[in-house]
Amino acid sequence: MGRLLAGMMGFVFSVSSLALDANPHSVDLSELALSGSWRALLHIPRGENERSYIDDPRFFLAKDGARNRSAELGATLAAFTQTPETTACRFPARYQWLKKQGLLPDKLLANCDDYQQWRKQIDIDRIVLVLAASYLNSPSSMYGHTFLRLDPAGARSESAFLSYALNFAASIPPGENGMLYAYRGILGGYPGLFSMQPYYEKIQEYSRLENRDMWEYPLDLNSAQIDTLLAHTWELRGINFDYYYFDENCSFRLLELLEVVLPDVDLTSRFVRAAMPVDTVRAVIDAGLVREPEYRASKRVELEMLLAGFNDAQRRIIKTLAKQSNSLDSPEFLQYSGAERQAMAMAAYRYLRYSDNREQRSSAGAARSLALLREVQRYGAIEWPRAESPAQPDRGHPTSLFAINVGSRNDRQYSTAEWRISYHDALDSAAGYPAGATLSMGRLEVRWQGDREAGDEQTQLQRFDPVAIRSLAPRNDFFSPLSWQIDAGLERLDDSPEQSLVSRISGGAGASVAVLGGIAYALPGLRLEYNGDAKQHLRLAPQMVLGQLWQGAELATELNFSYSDFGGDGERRHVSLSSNWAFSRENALRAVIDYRHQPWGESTGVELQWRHYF
Amino acid sequence: MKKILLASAVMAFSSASFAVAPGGPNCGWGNMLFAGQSGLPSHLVASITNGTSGNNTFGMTLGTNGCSADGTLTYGGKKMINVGAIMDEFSEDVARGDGEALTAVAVSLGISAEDRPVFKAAMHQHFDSLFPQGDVSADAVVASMFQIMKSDQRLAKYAA
Repeated sequence: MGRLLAGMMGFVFSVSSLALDANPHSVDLSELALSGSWRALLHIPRGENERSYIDDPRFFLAKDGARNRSAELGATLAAFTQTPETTACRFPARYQWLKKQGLLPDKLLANCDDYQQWRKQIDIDRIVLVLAASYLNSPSSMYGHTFLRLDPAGARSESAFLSYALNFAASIPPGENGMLYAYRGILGGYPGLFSMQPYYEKIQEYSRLENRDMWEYPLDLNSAQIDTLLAHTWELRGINFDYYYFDENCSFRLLELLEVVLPDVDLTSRFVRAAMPVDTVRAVIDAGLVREPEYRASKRVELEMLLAGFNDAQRRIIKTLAKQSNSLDSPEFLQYSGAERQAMAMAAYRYLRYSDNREQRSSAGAARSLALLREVQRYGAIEWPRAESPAQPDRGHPTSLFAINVGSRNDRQYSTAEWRISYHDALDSAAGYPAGATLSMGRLEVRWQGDREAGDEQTQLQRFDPVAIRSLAPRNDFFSPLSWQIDAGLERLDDSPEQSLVSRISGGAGASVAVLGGIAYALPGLRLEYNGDAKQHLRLAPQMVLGQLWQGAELATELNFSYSDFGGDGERRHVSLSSNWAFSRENALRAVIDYRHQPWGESTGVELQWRHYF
Repeated sequence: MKKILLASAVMAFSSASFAVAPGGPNCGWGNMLFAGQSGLPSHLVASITNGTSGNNTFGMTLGTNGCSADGTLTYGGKKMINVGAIMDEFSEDVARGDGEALTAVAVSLGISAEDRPVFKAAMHQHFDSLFPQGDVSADAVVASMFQIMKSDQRLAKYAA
């Protein structure tokens, strides 16, 4: 109560009446309270009557500080009057900003031991925005993850293993049930916290354990800006934000943090509803804050690069080396030159570490790994090849789609408006996206068809798919991943007599292999369909999906065949050929021709799509 | 670190069931070539929702989570990076003669830019004494490292 009163007083009286008296001329506090810097320091969204993203009362000095910027400013100034040093040590960024406004004296931070020690220890002079790309074979992680890398000054900048990671993540109470965790993690309910850890732990986590590529974008910040960012980070120690997977997530919080440094740059407004990490990286790039990124290939990518340099016989030997340590003495291996043996031992070592990564540690595995490392070392220092950098994820097509499709089925013409909230399908330009992946969220198609003169015009829902995921990961002699797909939603059987709108969920898992310069796949599965016009409304139909896909940055083509057996309601066969031409980053043309053989008859269709990404 | 904690919470293991690494429990993670820590596979949900467990906020910098205050450890009175947490990367770098982990160890030992190639070459040549078997501890590796430095003219001053 006393604090609140003091806050009000601080606000009512001009600043010169404050004990600190640092500012001889009166400053308009109400104007200051409305400034962008103060808004950003309090994590209040732009706009009228907004509430701070911070839910933790410990972050605010005024009782209604989360809503009332003026009250919080008054309370902050009052706190500085009463306990100047304590308040400065708790809120160094607020202090620096108020000092810059001429409201507070110099040197209040000089005796903040914890803060000064922390700053001295980490001694940061460069900040890097890191995007961890998607998991291998897991399109659901395609959105990625972002965090900051803090690079120390001096010699410590020479290895990223000496840098720090500043990360925002949901905080999970110990002992939490796994399902509840997934539910609350996505829909909210966990507090989110900023935390720091050695950057090598992030390399181990993403590059090694999860096999995700990392993109490191250095930020163009001067030392004053870095100072502000760290001072504000200190204010956020242990402070809870709500964590939501889709909007108030890691990437959104990082933008908030950057706005504290650059209050006049609006990074956050467009992400209030959903913040996809790669889109937030684009926003930071668009704001001109980023220099050329570095690519940190995952261990898996490095392993594939190593393996690509060997012929079949050598690949067989590499596999054996990884399995049996005595094979280092085998004549097949010894027939090769020292340099070749070294390269093969290195590949075998990496393969063994890769395969064992998720297993419990075993002495036998460790002994084999060590034997391979010794073999590598025997031949002297080895030059490490760098994996070639793929297209930058930020250079890929934008993640939302609007398309106009015109087509004809059995000579009946139609046009369709299609909207997809996110993200990518396998025929969209593959540049910057993981190979073989489709992740479509919120896809809606509305179709107009008919004959105006004959009076049978129709506008109707053609399709609504909340989610469709497909992952095609080719198998070979070293890797045997599963390829799989799942999709669910509403779909109109536009060639059936009743134009039935069915709801369905379908899924399948199988395998794919690299052939003919593309990927061939077979995905057996099931389709559960509810069709009010069928003899039996609810059916579980076995289905088989086969296809061949060629992806590319500009041109992509897919041939697809599907068969499903609806028992008493007949069988459906469907062949389609689709080609996509991405003629710019934001636009593509796609043509689809198909033939369907279904219980109610045959049909052929042709469709032309103009696809605009935004 | 955090995901080991999480995985252990989810799978109802206690984090005490992990061998203690030189940096303290829960420092670093993954299946290690050298004894120290072991990894657990179940962290999928954590990855999807980008979760962390509650106790590590600023833990590293304030020394509350078992890791040392600034990611460095003291070995025989000398501060350096937690070798136990990067043993896999470090051993591979030593075998091939260079790499980020080896550079990090050299820098954290205060070895000057001119002497770093000497340090790297010395470690590479003495791979077998650094890593005599798969169960070597980080402490033993660091002890051998100091031995190698002491017996090298240019490197002895850093081991003093």
